[in-house]
Amino acid sequence: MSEVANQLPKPPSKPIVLVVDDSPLVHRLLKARLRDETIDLRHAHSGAEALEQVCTEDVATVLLDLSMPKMDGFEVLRALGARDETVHVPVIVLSGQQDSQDKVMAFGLGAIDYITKPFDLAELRARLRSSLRIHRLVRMLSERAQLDGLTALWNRSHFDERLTQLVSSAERSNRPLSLALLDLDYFKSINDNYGHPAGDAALQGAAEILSGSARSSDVPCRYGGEEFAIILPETTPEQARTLCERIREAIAERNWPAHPDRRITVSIGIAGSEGSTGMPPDQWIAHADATLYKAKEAGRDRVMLTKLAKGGPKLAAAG
Amino acid sequence: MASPGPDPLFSVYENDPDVGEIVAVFVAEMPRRRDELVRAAQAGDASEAARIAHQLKGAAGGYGFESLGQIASVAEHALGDLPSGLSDDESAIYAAVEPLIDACDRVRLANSETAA
Repeated sequence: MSEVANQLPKPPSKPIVLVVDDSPLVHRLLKARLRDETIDLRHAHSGAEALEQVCTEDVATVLLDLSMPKMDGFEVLRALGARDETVHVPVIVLSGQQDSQDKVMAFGLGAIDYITKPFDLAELRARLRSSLRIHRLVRMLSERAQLDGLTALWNRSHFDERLTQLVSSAERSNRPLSLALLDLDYFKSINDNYGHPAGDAALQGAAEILSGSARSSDVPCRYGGEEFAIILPETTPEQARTLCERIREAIAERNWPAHPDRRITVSIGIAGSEGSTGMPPDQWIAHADATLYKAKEAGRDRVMLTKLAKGGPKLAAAG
Repeated sequence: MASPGPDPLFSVYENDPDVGEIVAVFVAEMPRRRDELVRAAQAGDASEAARIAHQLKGAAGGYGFESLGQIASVAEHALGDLPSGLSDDESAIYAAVEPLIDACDRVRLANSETAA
């Protein structure tokens, strides 16, 4: 399904590999030895520094020394395993310890591989590539589980998760955010008159327009049935309205091979804010949904907007 | 006639295109590392001496000085095996790291030896 590939966020051009070791000698050596690998090699000189980087960067593999002062490698493994966001980051232990008890413990704490120093270069490269392959596959699986099978847009569960994150981030930073809910007009009659394959094609066509119009930071989703949603971070209500007008027009102008004489239109309700609103995600959805209802009531095939702010919402003039 | 000096330790990676350059830096930094080790012993600081030995154990082989790594490993174990009453004893620590200090003194670049 080529649309799926289009929907997946692009991974960084080179996977980030983080070396965690208190010895500058090891950092220097790995930098030289891995120079020709297609990776972005990063460096942490302590366990604490490593955790900070893994939490803020999209790290594809950690090369971890066990024996470090203050926070040792075992503690780093425990801390990575305790967080949802870091539990799947592959860790290869690089250790001077030959002790099999250490190996068993490291694997028990989540390490995926173990290399004893001094390492054999060819073996290190092979194991690193294998780890990067595992990281790529795990990422692909987890992302596909969050895609809608018919439209290849993000599914409802991903929508809920991202809306919570983006509302909270906009609140914290007092930055703009908009949420649009879209509903295909008279969709049931497409299914009734032209059959379910035509209905599916309408959903796929609308989804294609949505993902084609969205920027990489936007989150276009299938919300359920013939309803879609787009979360628009860093987007003012007026900017959201311009984008949604483009989507509305593109859907209205599209030709549908299964029913060339029957156009499909969409109604869109936007809830948007210039800055923090103090509203939780479910209130954002409620406002966007109420605005969508007003667009339907006002005759469909239109975009309506509610501006949210501290102190309450305000329905903007119809676009 | 000049005395032949101690048996030098050479890197098997000295002419390796990937790491030849950093092997030279490793050798150039060796007197500083050796002095740190001596200072740790003189200060009765077994844990600092063990840290230096541990780092050399993990890295020396990667720089092509496998025997230096093995000697560092022995020193690290010897420091770990010191009875608790001797863990800050200068002469006991010195005895544990002496072979390593000696090995550090013998680290050389073969190319510069040839040139000399």
